[in-house]
Amino acid sequence: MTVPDGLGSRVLLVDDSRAIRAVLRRMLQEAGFSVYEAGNGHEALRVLDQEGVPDIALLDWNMPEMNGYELLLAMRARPDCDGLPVLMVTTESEAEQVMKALDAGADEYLMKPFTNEALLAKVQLATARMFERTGRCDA
Amino acid sequence: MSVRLAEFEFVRRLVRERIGIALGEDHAYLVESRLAPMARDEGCDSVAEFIGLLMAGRREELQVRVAEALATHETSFFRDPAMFDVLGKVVLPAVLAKRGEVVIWSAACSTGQEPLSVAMLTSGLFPELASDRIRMIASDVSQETLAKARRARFGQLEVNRGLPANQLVRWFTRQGTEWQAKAELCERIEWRLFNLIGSFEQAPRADVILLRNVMIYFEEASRKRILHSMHRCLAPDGWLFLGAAEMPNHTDNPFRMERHGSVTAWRPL
Repeated sequence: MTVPDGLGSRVLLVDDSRAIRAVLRRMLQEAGFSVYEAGNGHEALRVLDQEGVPDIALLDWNMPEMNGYELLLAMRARPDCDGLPVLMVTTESEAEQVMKALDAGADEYLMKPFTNEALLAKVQLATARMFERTGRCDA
Repeated sequence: MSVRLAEFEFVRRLVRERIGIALGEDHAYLVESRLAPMARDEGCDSVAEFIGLLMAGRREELQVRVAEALATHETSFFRDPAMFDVLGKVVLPAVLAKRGEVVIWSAACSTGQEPLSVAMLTSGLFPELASDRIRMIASDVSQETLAKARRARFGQLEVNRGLPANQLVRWFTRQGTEWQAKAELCERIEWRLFNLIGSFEQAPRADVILLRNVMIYFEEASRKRILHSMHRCLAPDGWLFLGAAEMPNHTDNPFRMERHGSVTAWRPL
């Protein structure tokens, strides 16, 4: 596990909207991240198996087939994703949903709409929180 | 009709005299955008017409509002997280160990994110002391900005900027499209109207002063005067924090630099 500082760190971006993925991809690539994508939870799990565990995962909540919350639970059940920082990036903005995501093991939560600066700050926060949770930092 | 040079110069002078902030020559856009709502309220068709109104008469209260509207309000929760880390791990434990209590002054608090961040930090670190042994004072030059800070209600874009999700759900409740800080957090902050280029007679005495990202807007003479005044307000073993890119560069600087990792603290000489 390395600190996702944008210098080539790998981001798994999961969102069913191609347009939103394109916006996020551009923001992340401009910050130096290497991005790979999935359009729903099932696809994300396949990508994880094929590409390996990334340095951080960004999950939308509402997606067909397997939503972001279900994907988060599935990721947290996988030993290889134990130290993976997870940032929920979603339009779901009720306090209960933020708490539900944190309780399920999300490290941070970002509500749409957001700025580029807010996204990158949340990526850093998610990483810091993951280190707090797992006590791991090999960077 | 856009703002002409003479009108812009008038506004620059007004802002400098009232609140000591030096607007750059490239800040005409700021004048246009910040004064447009006030121009509408006054029944003017343009900002230029509104400034003409200001130039023609001596409407004291309107001039104050104009100066305040042009003060910069850029802020966010836990801005420069490393500073909060030093505050929580080094500064507050040291002051509390020595005195058992601490006074923190956020001296240009803008819309309140900085003092609220400190209140969240201290409540998390020292829950048993937070309400009576940790005194948080927050001040700003603008009545309107301070009123927003006191309301402690923030939009989604504001809470997205730097506020960790666990702190959001711990200290805020959702109200429509906004987030309201809980009373138990807001009650820990004393809000005051305070002009950094005015008299310091009523200024608080503090162990820790946060004066971050505001000195850059002042001219050198004002910066120097403010720093010397802050020195008098600060406990002899106190701590001053400026913005990451700010440093006292005049010859009789009354502070010495103390580094804590990437964070610089200024300690009284």
